[in-house]
Amino acid sequence: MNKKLPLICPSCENQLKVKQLHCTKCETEVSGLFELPMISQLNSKEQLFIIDFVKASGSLKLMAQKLKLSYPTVRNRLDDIIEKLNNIV
Amino acid sequence: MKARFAINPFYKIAGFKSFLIALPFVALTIYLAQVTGTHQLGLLKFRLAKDSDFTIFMAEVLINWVLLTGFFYLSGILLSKSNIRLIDILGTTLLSRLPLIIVPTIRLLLPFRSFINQSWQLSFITTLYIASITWVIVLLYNAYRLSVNLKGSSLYFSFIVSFLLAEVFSQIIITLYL
Repeated sequence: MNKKLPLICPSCENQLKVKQLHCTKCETEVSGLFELPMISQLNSKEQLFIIDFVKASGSLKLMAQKLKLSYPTVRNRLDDIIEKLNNIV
Repeated sequence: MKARFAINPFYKIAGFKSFLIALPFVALTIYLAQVTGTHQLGLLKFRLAKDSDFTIFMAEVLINWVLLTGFFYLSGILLSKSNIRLIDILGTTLLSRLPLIIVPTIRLLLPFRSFINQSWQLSFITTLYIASITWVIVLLYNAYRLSVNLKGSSLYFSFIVSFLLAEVFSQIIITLYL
């Protein structure tokens, strides 16, 4: 079963942070207060887009061919992600 | 899915591909317009009159298309944060004109070849024209929205202004010089 990493508090809708990390090999636990990495603050579709973009060596043309979408559609999606990342910073 | 594609094919087809697909259909539309005497004064106005040169019908289409592309591109350059491409606007606006083939095609049929004013044929042709223009405007809006990547009020406002400016200038140029 694929579990989605929750990003927003279901109670007050604030950004969630990481409090504890666990090693499944040696059972070590690390506690603190950590910000979620910027990339993980995007939704799963956006993260997949970024991964595909990197795999396509940053070529929007290749991305468009792979996703069977037009070039401006892919460009607009990238621009939307860039804007979202700029708002996160 | 098919309905979505009919009003917004541009999420799949844009740029030079859309230009290549549209070109033969637009050429055919111009030819049928000449055969049937269906003049296009901008997009919102048409006139029925035969005995004009093929170049007149071609110029009517070219003037409106070039003006529309120009105003859309200018709006995109001024308002959009994206790196817009002229070929996307050229191709998608040309593809948006495809429904304009409907009226000249219908006018090939015997009852619609020539008719008097206030006839049922004129009413039918006018209604058909309004329907095809509505489809064209929806396509143009989606073409513009995708090509320049604008949202919200800047999208609506710039589309209306660009469309109306192209329309006014088209009608002025076509009326004065053709």
